[in-house]
Amino acid sequence: MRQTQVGSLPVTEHSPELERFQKLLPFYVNGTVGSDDRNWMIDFLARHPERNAELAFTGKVQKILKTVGADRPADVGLRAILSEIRAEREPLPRLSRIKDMLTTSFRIPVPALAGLAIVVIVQGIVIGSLKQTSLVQDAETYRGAMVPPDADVAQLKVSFSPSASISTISDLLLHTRCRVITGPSETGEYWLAISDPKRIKETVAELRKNSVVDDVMVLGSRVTP
Amino acid sequence: MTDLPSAQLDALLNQIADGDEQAFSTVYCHYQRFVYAYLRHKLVDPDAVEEVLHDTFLAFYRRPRSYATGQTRFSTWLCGIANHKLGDWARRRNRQPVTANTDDEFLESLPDPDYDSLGQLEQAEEERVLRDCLDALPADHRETFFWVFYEEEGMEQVAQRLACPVGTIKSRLHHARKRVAECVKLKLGAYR
Repeated sequence: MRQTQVGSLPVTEHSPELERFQKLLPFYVNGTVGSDDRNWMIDFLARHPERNAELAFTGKVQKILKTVGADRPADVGLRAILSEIRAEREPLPRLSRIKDMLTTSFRIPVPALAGLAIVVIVQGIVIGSLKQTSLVQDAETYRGAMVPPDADVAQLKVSFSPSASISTISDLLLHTRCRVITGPSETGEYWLAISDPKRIKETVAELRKNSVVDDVMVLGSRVTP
Repeated sequence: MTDLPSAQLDALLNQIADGDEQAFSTVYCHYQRFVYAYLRHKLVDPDAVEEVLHDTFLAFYRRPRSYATGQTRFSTWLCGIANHKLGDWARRRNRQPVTANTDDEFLESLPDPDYDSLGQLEQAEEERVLRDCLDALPADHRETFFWVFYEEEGMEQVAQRLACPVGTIKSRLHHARKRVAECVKLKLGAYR
């Protein structure tokens, strides 16, 4: 075993004192140790000056990590997001352009224009109502805090680990005989129905013990974990 | 990461929900570096980080009101979205984020690195080596480094955040430093 001679006491690689120093060091460097531990570290470093190199190295690690992203221009990413958002809103200006084209480019008699306007309005209502339905569905099935419309038939809300693959999730659902009602949400939740509702407790327990499952919530009636 | 005051944040979220780009820019500029750094500790490829960061803020822009004030810190909530966007990204590419093998028992058996020579790192080249070695760490070690060294959180806080005992955090940090030190020593030895 390697030893470092310090003052009158040797510090071995596995001495409890050295172990304490090494485990406290990151928190001493980031300034979050309590005053007792801080004083102990100061005292230890005074007694073992050869350990200052380790302190300096850990400080360098922190310095490098603190600079992550510092040289990244924020406006590039922001511009990309804003241009994508604006592109999504594109249809409105296009409609305006068509209207302008109709009123300025073609000289249509007033009664014909009125007839055309009625046709356009009726079509607009039909298309608008279809679009509205689609938007409502999008909003309701959106993977946010809202509960999807068909979630009332679901019995469980399950959050899977972000690292879980689709095949792992499918295998687990097959194994536990669960059916996906909807999902995943923005935060990775799935709404599930169980083939045998009497087995709800067993299914919850089985899901919870799987490492790819972050959380299981029983919908409707609560089950004691 | 210092979150925006909750009253200001609430106002901004409402403005964003009404399509206010200026309000979105304010939130983006305040949090983008933090979320970038968080993702950078999970993903080694900077282009992939940019992609997931983009998806994260886009998801936030589309549904800013899905954040429930008071339930969790806003920055933590953003990390949650980032995690799921990262999962989507990995699934899209049918692969897991690049991670190295964790072999703590092997590391435990190694003697302490020679920190005397490592303490002399000063040149940009040497800092690049250190950065490369940090990137080569396993994902769980990198994430622990992020919360401890980037976010400067205390040991109990990090343990709670990563849902593991304080002892695990301490030994993970110890092994991670040892691994980085060995890597730097090896690479610098090759350079010199």
